[in-house]
Amino acid sequence: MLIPLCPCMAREGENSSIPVVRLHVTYQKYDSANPWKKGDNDSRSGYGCVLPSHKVITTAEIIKDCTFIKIEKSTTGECYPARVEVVDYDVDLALLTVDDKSFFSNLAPLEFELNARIDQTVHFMVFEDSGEIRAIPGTIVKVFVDDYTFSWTEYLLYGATVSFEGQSGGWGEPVFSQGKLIGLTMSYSSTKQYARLIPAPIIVHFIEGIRHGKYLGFPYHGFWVTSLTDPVRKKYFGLPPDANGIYVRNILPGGSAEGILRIGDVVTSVDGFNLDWGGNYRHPIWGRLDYQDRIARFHYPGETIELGIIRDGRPMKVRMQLKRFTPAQYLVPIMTYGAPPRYIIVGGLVIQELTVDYLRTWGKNWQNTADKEFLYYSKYEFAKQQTDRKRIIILSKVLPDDVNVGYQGLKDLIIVSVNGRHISTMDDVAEALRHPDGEFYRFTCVENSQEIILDRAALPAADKRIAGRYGISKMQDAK
Amino acid sequence: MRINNVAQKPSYYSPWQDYGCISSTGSGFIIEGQRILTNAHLVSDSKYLEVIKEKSEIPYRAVVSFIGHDCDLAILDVQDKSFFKDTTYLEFGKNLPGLQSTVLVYGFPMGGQRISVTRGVVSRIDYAVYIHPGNYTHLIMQIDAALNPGNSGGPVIQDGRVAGVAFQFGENLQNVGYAVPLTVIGHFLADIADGTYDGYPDVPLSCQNLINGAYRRYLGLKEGMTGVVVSTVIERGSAEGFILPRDVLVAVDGRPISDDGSITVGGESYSLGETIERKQVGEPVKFDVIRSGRLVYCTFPLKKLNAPMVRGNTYDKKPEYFIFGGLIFQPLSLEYLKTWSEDWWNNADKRLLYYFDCYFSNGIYIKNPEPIVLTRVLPAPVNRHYTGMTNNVVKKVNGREVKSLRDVIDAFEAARGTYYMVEFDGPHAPCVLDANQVKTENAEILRTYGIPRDRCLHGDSSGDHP
Repeated sequence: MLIPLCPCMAREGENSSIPVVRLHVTYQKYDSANPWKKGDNDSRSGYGCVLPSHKVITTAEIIKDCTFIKIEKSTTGECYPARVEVVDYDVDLALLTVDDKSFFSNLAPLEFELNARIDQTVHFMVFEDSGEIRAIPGTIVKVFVDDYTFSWTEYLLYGATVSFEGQSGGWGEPVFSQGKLIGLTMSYSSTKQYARLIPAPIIVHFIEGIRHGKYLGFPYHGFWVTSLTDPVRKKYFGLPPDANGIYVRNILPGGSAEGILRIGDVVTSVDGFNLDWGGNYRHPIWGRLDYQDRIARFHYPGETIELGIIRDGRPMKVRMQLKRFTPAQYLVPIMTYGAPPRYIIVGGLVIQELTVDYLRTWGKNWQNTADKEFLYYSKYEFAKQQTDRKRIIILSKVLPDDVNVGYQGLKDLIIVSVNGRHISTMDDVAEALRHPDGEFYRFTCVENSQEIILDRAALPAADKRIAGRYGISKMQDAK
Repeated sequence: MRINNVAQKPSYYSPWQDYGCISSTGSGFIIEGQRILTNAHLVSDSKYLEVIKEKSEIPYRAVVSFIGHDCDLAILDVQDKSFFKDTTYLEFGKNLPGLQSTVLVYGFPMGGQRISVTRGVVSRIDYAVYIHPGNYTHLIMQIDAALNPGNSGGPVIQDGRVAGVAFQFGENLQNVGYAVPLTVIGHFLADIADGTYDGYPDVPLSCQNLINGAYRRYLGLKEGMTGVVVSTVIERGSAEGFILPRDVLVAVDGRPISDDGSITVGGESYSLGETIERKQVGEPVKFDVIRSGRLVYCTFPLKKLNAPMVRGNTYDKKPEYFIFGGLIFQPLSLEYLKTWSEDWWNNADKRLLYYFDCYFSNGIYIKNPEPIVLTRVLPAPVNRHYTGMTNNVVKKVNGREVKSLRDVIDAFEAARGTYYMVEFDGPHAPCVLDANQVKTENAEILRTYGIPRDRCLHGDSSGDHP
């Protein structure tokens, strides 16, 4: 049953229609355990909205690892190929472009509703099998701040109750209120009949962050906190008993707060807003929201904000220039960010970066069963890069060949130097391999300082055999 | 004879108390000198021990005079010497039984008054982990015989002489049992001859095989020379000062070492670790070493390392702990990790597992030799905000770095000020306690939770064996 959403749309003309489209994405995952291989092809579908600027907005989850995207319009059923132009996995959003300009005809211009209200009725747009758009009613029940599908950083979210009636959901279903887009559905639980939405303010911030072909992104404040609710710690850190603040317990290297804040500071206000005991600021409509929202959504990287802090018992103000926390800054990347895993295979030694995707190859219960040394780094030091340690480079396994007899049982070791050169990134490995240790290639591991020595002269022939035997088309992908 | 034990193991979750009593029964036998030989696992954590001769029901009190947790053997003594009237002792054989030879296993598999005799065939003799300590490997004799836990401690006899002590049983395999063989028994008895059980020396090195020709050439080994290369020399271990990393060990006690680390003697092949395992603490070992192309000889006595973190199963010891303001501090140990239940290897805290697993391999033994964990918080007004901080590793107390439980206690007791502050490894906020509040509440917390003493600290920090 088609519900006419917005009288204004009917005015546009007989053939105009709601700018909601369906995406069909073919994707191919990477196999972190065998990084020279790709996984099987598969496909998924989701939804997006067409922007007045002639781009399509959708969720990053839908287009992740894509090899081909086609977009279906409800009016004609025709599918148009599309490409990803900008993607931000932290806020789970992607902007697509369609080359065939006829795609954009007969679509009503999209408008945004920036203010949701609790208990407000909204409509989730889905395609029927017939291709017609159906509007499923739901209710906004919550406005809060939490992490998104692919992030550990936290952003504004809407929670809504809705029943997709047996259909699966959580694939970007656009949510409208009075004919305006209020959010995209990020996830849906059929058991709880509850959906999480990426709110329109986040979508708008994403879109407006694309300027002259560059994407600015969402800034990250670069520090971790604990609420100070207990009177003893408040007193110890210099907070007056009726004041509130959050204790800075960690500063991320390379982040916005490095050099500005110190561990032990107590933040009492952010961007002019005082914080309550839970670290929340007061939003005029939504009430108490986590301070992280004030930083992420109201500013772009490069802008400066003011923080009120208490340091060594004395109140003061500091100015912090905001930066984005980019994938390059992770010691252990938490996802692939759409790029294939970097690897180098030399003499059968498979050398790659430690990533959470690699840990996932241990199976469903990887968070408990994966290698204990690696789990420690991914859990407790994933954001702790140092100048001489940008990534953790590992020997994941050895592909057996005559050239590596004696080492064939080795796996999951951390490599700390190659040919005597300390390595911090895959580029360092590639560079070190250009400077052999005399007639040898020498790899030193952390664990018991084990070394692996290979015969340099034997490597070209060995690499050829290994590539042939194990079906490896590219022996390295470590640009 | 039958041995009945009532054991009580301490709890590492509530380290001031013990679990309930467990009764167990097994076997043992008399050896020369009016001594009873049995397994350590039968008589560990014993609160009450008695022995009953075959065909008798009269129990005699027994005590443990020597116990080797690292090899699962124990010697018992009976005060009332009338126990030994009309008994003889079993003698030991000279050699290990051959494979496929027949042995008889004596014991009391289902309790009972009469002894049972099971015939079996020796199917294998190999090095394997002894389950009782968990972190020691010695020779084990595998016997195809229907044995069960009541057989533990019973003698394995061949030609009328003792060839081993039955002690472990195959779970998945029917009709398979394991015995501690002669060589291990011999090592144990030789050790206790001086009145103290010293235990097995620790392997002081980490080595890599030299199967790969490139590695051999890199180290400058000439044709025909074989050995293993040292990758790490354990700090404060027996080899420190004698062996260097990159040394190639080509012979041990005059016997050549092959590239895979094996030593062949009379057709039998042993590993380097096994060679060290046969020696006593204090016994010297001699290595022929190629160092920078030259042959040198290194002889040094083997020692026990006594690393502060206890990585084996622990018996006959009370857990170390310190309770302050309701915060319980304990050293990280295998026993503490086991409180996460059977699947602790997958379920325990990941930082603690990392410190445990990589203790030697990643140098944690040097940097953080005795990680002290805030294991629990006994809720009370003074600490009510910190109940979520459990399983963090303590870095500093009142600004003082702590490297041991002793440090923690000293730091708290030396503090003079309005606050106590505990800082942790990792990106965690500190705990801050009001000093006056702690003083007021400390005794009450111990009373409320039924804790008799606020601390338990051993004299030294060794825990692998008594």
